[in-house]
Amino acid sequence: MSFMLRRVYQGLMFKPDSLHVHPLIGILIILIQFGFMVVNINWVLALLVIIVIFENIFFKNIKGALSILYALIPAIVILGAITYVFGGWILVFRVLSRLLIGGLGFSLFFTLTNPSDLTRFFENMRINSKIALIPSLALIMIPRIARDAEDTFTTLRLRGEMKGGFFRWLPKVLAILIASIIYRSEFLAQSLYFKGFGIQKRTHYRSVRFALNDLFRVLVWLLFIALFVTFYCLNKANILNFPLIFI
Amino acid sequence: MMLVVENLNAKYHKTKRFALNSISFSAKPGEFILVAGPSGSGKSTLAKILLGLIPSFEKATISGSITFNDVSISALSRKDLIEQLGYVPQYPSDFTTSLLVEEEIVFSLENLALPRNKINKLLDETFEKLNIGHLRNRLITELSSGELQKVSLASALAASPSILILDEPIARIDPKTEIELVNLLKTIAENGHIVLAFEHRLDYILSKADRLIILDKGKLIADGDPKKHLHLLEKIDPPEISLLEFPSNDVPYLSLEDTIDIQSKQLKSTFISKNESETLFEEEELFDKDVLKCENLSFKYNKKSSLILEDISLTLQRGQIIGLTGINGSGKSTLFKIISGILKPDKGKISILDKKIKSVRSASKSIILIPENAKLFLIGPTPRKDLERELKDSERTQAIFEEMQLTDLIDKKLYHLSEGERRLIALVNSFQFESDIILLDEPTIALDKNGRNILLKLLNKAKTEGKMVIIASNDPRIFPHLDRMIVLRDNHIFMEDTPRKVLYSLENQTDLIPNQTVRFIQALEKQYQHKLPHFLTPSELNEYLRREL
Repeated sequence: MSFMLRRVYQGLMFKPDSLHVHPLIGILIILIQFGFMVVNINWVLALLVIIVIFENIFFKNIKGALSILYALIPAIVILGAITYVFGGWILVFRVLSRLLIGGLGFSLFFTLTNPSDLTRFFENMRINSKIALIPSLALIMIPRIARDAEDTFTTLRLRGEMKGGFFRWLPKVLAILIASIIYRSEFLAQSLYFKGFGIQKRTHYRSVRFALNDLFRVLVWLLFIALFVTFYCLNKANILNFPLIFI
Repeated sequence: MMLVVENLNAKYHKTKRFALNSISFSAKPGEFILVAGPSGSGKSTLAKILLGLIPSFEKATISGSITFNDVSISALSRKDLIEQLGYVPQYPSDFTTSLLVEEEIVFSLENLALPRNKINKLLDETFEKLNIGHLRNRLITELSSGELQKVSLASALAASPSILILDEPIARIDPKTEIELVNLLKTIAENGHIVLAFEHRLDYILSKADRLIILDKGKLIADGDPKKHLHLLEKIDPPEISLLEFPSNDVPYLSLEDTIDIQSKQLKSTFISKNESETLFEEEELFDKDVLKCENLSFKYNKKSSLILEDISLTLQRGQIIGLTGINGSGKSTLFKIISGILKPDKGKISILDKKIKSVRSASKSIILIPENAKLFLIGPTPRKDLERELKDSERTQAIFEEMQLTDLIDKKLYHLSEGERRLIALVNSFQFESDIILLDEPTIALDKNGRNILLKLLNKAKTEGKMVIIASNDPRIFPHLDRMIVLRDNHIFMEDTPRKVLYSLENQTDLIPNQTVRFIQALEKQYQHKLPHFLTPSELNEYLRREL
């Protein structure tokens, strides 16, 4: 669990030295990705996978993408096995490609988007500050909890408390972890209180501007949409199969 | 801006005792005030009331008054309060709300709805004032403890508050950063702020404070010149330098510099007339059966990263207290993780009693580890129940807590204990495990004098029982109590010897600072150009001076 949390954190960590993308563009592309994940056409899913991998390479998020892939290994194995049993290789491909698109897409989004800029963008969109701050706070809490989880596992193992089956040691781990999360959340609440969060409408010390990277991403995804529309018009297949997206 | 506290009382709900009892004091701009007191003396309660965290977050009954410039704190809006007060918490890492340093500092300024150009001006000024411009675009998670403390200070100072409150600001930083930070606080006070530091690690900070306020069991027992009230710190934790007894003066010294200035002339004849060198202390080498062997260990976190540890070889014997020291990032915690089987070395091997350590499971038979975040060691729900899980003997559990004089904590819920108390309980309980090797990661953080004495008691007991204890720490006050010291630097073992030899070799090493007694003798050696006996503790030097003078 701690291993996975750490990998998730590494995969979603904002990198100050990387190229940055405007939150609006990032959100739009995530929405496009999720919109097209509904489509149940193999070549579309394959193209989506290729594009998100290409984008991760272009924006030098290889480490982050690999971290997310590591974290997804249990899900890939379990979902892969289940879908193979019930639907064969085609279904495995359809389910796992969606998992990859989602994981790698989110990894790139959080790597390229400063969480504080995301908060500012949401606030500019007139979203309540308390909601706008959630992604930023979540990214702050994940590494803290991951570290606590890692230390908890280790000390319990060294204390000899991890003997027996999963259900014997899980309550002990959860008890310590939940206490730690409550403790850390309380500190965070005090911090927000003392830093004056929620007193009044916040001002922003800088505005987030569009850059060439945004244009590049927009062009890549416009090209993808153009390809899709072209091929869809040429071959009017039944592209939507809603029940399958829930698999 | 004047801060006046009058007849302040505080009582937590569900407790009988007053946490604060008739506290009165005032503070004016330019003052650097140190508030000291043992664990449970009411320091944190006073800080939280001043900050408004009590009663907003913790329920307590409060009476008395606190005024800023004749305006009661209760009449101030939260915005006004935040504009007047800057706060540096005990655990800055838990208090951060942003990922980047720059964002962290502007967060409260944005919340105060300051105009954009003013925020940018304040931001630049703060970076310049604290000299941390190089950290501007760094991730907070990548900062060292000292850097994080400075960023936290910057965040508190950005809005230019009149009063700066710091809760144990130097508990987690190394001595070198401690000196830097305390000097910075002094400058901040001189620039017209009121600086109130709540602290019990007093070695350096006390010499720079203008005033000392001492709390004990919720009462203010002293307020004034630190020199005048030094004797009252005996129970708390006086600076090591003040424990030196010189026949020519009755009043103990506060600062190392004063002690050197005054005493160097007076002691010169005593030391120079003797031709003793460090041979005064012939330390016997302890040799027992080898317990832990590390052979040519090398480790890096991933293929592309640089080596964290390189070619580390150690042979450690039972019945020894070993100190592992080195600046942050030198690999202390990584070595602990490798020894306890959490991390696998890229090269080399570890064996305990000739059995190779391959995993946590194989290490767990011989090793117990207390992490820096000691509360994660405790399963609880109370100190008694936590220890009973291991001992399965209620009478022995009771006897252990009685021996350590911790019976008042034995049935308290773990989450009601302070950080220092939790660490102490984790230390006491860990020493009862039947492990040959005990690994302690920064065990002295948040411990007061009483806590440190209990730790020393545990260490002596472990020694007599033939256990090996390895302590990763930069706390100079723990160094003299070690049998061996291992200094890590640049991924290697830089030095390994008795503390006396290591500490007296550190003179020209700027990253590690020895305890004040050693620094005093080193300064005299430099002035006299003469080798002196290598005293390690105040009691060694005092005994020598009593004998010779």
